[in-house]
Amino acid sequence: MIPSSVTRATVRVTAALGMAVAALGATGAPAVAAPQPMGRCTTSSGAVLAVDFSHWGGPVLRSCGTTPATGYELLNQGGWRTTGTGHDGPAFICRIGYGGYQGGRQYPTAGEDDCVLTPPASAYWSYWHADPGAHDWEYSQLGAMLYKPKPGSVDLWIFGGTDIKGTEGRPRITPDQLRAHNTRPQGDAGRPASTAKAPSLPPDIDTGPAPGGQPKSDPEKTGRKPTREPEKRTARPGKSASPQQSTSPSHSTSPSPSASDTAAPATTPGTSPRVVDAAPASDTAHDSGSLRPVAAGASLIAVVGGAAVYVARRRRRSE
Amino acid sequence: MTAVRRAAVEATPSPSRQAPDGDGRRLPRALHPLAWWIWALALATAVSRTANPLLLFLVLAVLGYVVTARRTEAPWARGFQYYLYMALTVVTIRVVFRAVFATGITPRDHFLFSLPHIPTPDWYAGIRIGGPVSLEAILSAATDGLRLACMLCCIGAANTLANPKRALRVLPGALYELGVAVTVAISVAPQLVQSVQRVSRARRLRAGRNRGFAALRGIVVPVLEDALERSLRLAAAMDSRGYGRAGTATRRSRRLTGALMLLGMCGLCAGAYGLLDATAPRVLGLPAMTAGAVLCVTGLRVGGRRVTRTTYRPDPWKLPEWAVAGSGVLSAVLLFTGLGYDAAELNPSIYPLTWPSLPLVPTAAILLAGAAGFLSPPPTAPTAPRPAQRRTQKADVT
Amino acid sequence: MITFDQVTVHYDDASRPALREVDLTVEEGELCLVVGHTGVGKSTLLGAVNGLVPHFTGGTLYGRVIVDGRDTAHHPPRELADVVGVVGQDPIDGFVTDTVEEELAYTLEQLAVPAPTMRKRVEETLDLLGLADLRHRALHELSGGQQQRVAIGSVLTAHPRVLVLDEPTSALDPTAAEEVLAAVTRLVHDLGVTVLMAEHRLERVVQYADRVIHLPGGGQVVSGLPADILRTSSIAPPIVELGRAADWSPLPLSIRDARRAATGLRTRLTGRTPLPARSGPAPEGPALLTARGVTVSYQGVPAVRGVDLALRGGEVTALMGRNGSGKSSLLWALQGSGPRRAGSVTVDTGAGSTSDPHAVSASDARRMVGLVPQTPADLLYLESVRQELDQADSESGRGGTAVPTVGLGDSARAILDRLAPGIDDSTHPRDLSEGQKLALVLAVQLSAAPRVLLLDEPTRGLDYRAKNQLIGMVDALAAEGRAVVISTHDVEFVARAADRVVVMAEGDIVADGPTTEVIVASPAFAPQTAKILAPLPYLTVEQVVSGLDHPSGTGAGA
Repeated sequence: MIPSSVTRATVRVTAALGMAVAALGATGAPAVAAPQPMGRCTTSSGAVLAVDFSHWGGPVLRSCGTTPATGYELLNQGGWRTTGTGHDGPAFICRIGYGGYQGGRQYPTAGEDDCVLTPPASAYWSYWHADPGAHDWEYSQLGAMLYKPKPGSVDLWIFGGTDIKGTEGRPRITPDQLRAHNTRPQGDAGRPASTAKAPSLPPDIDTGPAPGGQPKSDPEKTGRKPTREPEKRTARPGKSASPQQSTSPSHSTSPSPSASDTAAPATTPGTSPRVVDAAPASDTAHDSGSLRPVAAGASLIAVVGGAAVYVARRRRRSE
Repeated sequence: MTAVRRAAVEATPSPSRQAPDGDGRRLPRALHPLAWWIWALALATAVSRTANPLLLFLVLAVLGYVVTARRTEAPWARGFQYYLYMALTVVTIRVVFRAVFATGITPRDHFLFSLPHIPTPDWYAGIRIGGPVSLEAILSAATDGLRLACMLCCIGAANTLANPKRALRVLPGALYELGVAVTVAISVAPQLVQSVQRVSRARRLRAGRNRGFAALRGIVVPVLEDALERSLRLAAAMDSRGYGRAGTATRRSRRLTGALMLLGMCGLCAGAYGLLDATAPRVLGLPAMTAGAVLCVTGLRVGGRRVTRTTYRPDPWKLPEWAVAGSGVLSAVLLFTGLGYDAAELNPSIYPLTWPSLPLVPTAAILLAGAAGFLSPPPTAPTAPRPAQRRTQKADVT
Repeated sequence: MITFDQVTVHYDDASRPALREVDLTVEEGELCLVVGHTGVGKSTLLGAVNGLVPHFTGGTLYGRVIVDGRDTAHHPPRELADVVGVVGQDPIDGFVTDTVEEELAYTLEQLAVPAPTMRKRVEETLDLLGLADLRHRALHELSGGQQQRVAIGSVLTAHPRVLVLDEPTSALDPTAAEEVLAAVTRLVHDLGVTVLMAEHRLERVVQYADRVIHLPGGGQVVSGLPADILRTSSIAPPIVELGRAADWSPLPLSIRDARRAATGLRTRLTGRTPLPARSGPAPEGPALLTARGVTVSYQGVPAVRGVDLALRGGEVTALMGRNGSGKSSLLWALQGSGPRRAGSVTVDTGAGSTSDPHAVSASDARRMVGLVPQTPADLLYLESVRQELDQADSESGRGGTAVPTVGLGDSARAILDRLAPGIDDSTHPRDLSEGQKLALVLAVQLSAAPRVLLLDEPTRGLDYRAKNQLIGMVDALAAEGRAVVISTHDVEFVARAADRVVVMAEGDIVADGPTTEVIVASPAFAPQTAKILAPLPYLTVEQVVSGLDHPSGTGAGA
């Protein structure tokens, strides 16, 4: 009884593996919506994406997506990639990586969180929005695949813990530190962005050193020097305390006190994260692995399963 | 080897029971049930670490091998296939749920098919029903389900390999009610199957409806009444035969034992919660766990100080028991420490699709657990009833 | 050894106490027989001995029960396990472990007996009860008699001073019952164990009893010497009834004593042909059901081997044989619901046509052949007698039927009132006595007006009164022209109820003929009256009584 079930199970497994093989052979054609250099985002168009890597000693990286349909698309373009959990699927953002930061390595790493089950509420990527002109972050009530960023808004992902109401673990950075302040798009907008080949950076923002310590640049893998040397803008307290009020209609209703409130963390520069602009980068090459371990594993399983069948046969004969 | 030789000498006087195995070296005997449980639970713990389908299928194959090689012919030892069916159900449910309650498809995913999308109101936007289904979603649901299924099969293997009634003896006397409940459940469950068959056959005599709620009721009511009566009679029989006797223990020492055990269990539960939920206060973690363990051990000591039970043919804890329990625990330790391999290999990426790798150490660890199949002694051969009696049995059932 | 001091037991949901102010003393080494009709409190009395009443069953016990100096009020059953051993009606329900040896050791383990002592006692018990060959066998593969002996052995290992047996032989065939009773009497004689035993079939045990405790009802208890109590008790085995009828004194309780006392009676009856045990002419009608070469097998193991059988209307056939000889399988195959590997069954549907019940739908099969299974309660699942009867009427599909039937017309209610008058509509079927349940299921099955009715072990658990009722029901059914088959172990019942006896062994029919011939032919199967009056062909007490009352009876001229 048992061995025959095992055999049947093995057959089923083989069939399932076969299907997976077929699927892996056909690589899907990625179609990602318009990543843009940071300058293309304005106070009323595009959405700014900011991801806080300070948990791993990195900067706050921000980039611009002009026509993001959902928060998830914004987070999966121009070199940005995410990983979901095994339990909840891709919609639950478990890991975030950027092609131009640490060679596209996604955080938290597999050692920190295996992203199989829903991560604990004490260490996960929490999702915050700031609408145009808003001075405070709003804890997202929707998942990344369901939320649709408004033009001119800021999406921020920070790693850590929050409580249910989002009162604990709020971002220390202010929306004003991150949002676009130019009213007109800057730089070259004519060139469509591609994930395989990121556009070269406009000369006017190509200033400042590379972000995040020593990003791995692997010329052999990407074929050329990665084009992510974005402008480094340190968060200046003065700037966040005196935002461009003219571009923010709602700001008049909430004047300086709230602005100084949000600026408070920035007055201690030691703890304030650096903000670095991340230009659209190429996707990290995806290695779909080798078939050899699969074959080895399958034969091993067959051997052990075969032993079970053999033992069962012998038992039945001796009965 | 000395142990084996001694056992051989002991067994000589009663060859009828302990006939030498086919290979003539080791004598058949039942392994200590606790050893099987430790082995299986450790393997389940190891499984909980990985979503690598190669490793998971290897675990299933190993379980299949050990169960076929070492199960007995007792009624409780014939149920492993049902656990396999249950495992398959778990995987199916997981996949269907993932397909129906779509978790979204990304442009990079491999689109398989699309289910009709049922719009949900805005205030209910957190859940999507229907929509496109990707290969990635199906595969990740399948591996996730497979992991659960593997853990289920580990428990199933323990139930198949270890005699549940002998395992129950490990239970301290302080947990009297629990012991009665479990024994009754174990004994009555197989009879329940029989009475379902009997009653559903009897239903035909009334030519009642064979489908629908009425038919179900016609079967369930008599079966449950029967099961309830049997359970009560068994519990009464256990009581009349001295189960849960206090013996020479005083009322006070019994109460003390009970209180210590109860507190200890609470401590263990709180500790487990504290360790697993990172938001819990730190005090709840290791300290509560330790305190709970200490209380439990003290309780058992206090309760055991005045012996109230003895064992006829006690299950020995010898080399094979150490080996089986050790092989299970070692495999769990290897999968948890992550020594010698990349932890990412335990959970191969599905987004984007990647071929699973076969990390050497975990593979070896699982195979090591499979060694229990020949580390344990062969099971005792069934005492085959004579054909005439067997026929009598069959006819009796009808 | 056992003292009941003004004991009253009142269950919470009962209006009257189950036992009322009982004073009782049982001396050491006595074999006490507890007799009484169903529901008079026998089980309560037995349960009170080891404290299951009230510790386990609930209810309130007033007064004191003292066993070997221990008051059950302060000692729950588990604390009395070393003094009192309890064996229930169905041994398999009380088994806690899996194998014979483990079961024997279980009580000792709970009593913390040291391992060497335990080994020794288990060996002794295995020998005492003849179980040594079975020691490693799984309990569920033993036969009924073996299981009951294991159950007795499992409490004996603890060397209890008192053994309480609640109907230990009710599920057993005569041979297995003898096996168990022989073991019990041996214990009394060899070990001086005090035994308290309840038993419906007194003919099996009354000769061994030192004392009889009679529960006449109403919570009263009368105890005394068997001969004294049985002279007046409402319950009596045939041997006692014969003794009463013949006015023997002292009342003989064993066949040996009775045969000595019966010398005069035999002389008086010699030369007379007894009236037939069953009134009415022998049926000579056409066969209602004809079975040819019926074979039933389970997974290749044959249970019934090529049986030929013809059942005629108005005839009551008893189907006898050991446990597992294929009786049930044959009945189920005849009804058409059970499996049948080979052979044919044809039933006369009454309109000149015949049909195979296995080939038609369940509801049509039911109109041809009705079967009451071994556990009648399996067929009952509604909340009241009324609902069950209504459901039966609708199931029987009064009105358009595919198979023509005769005698359709009585509703289930009317049938029930004829079989067992006075069962209230609103009663829950579960609260009925065994006999009433049987009547209800019979009514349910008869509502389909089958011309052939099969009853699978209906006498199990019935007391004398219920058996008399059953005989009345069966007589009525036969008088209506139906063919009735009853499988049973009860020879006394067969002697009074059946026209014809079919004996099965190993799936074959080994004997088939008129009751008088078949059951007198073998001593093991003979009823007590036949044993006492042999070689005279008397089977029942009624025959003898009528023979005495009408000395110029039909056979006077012989």
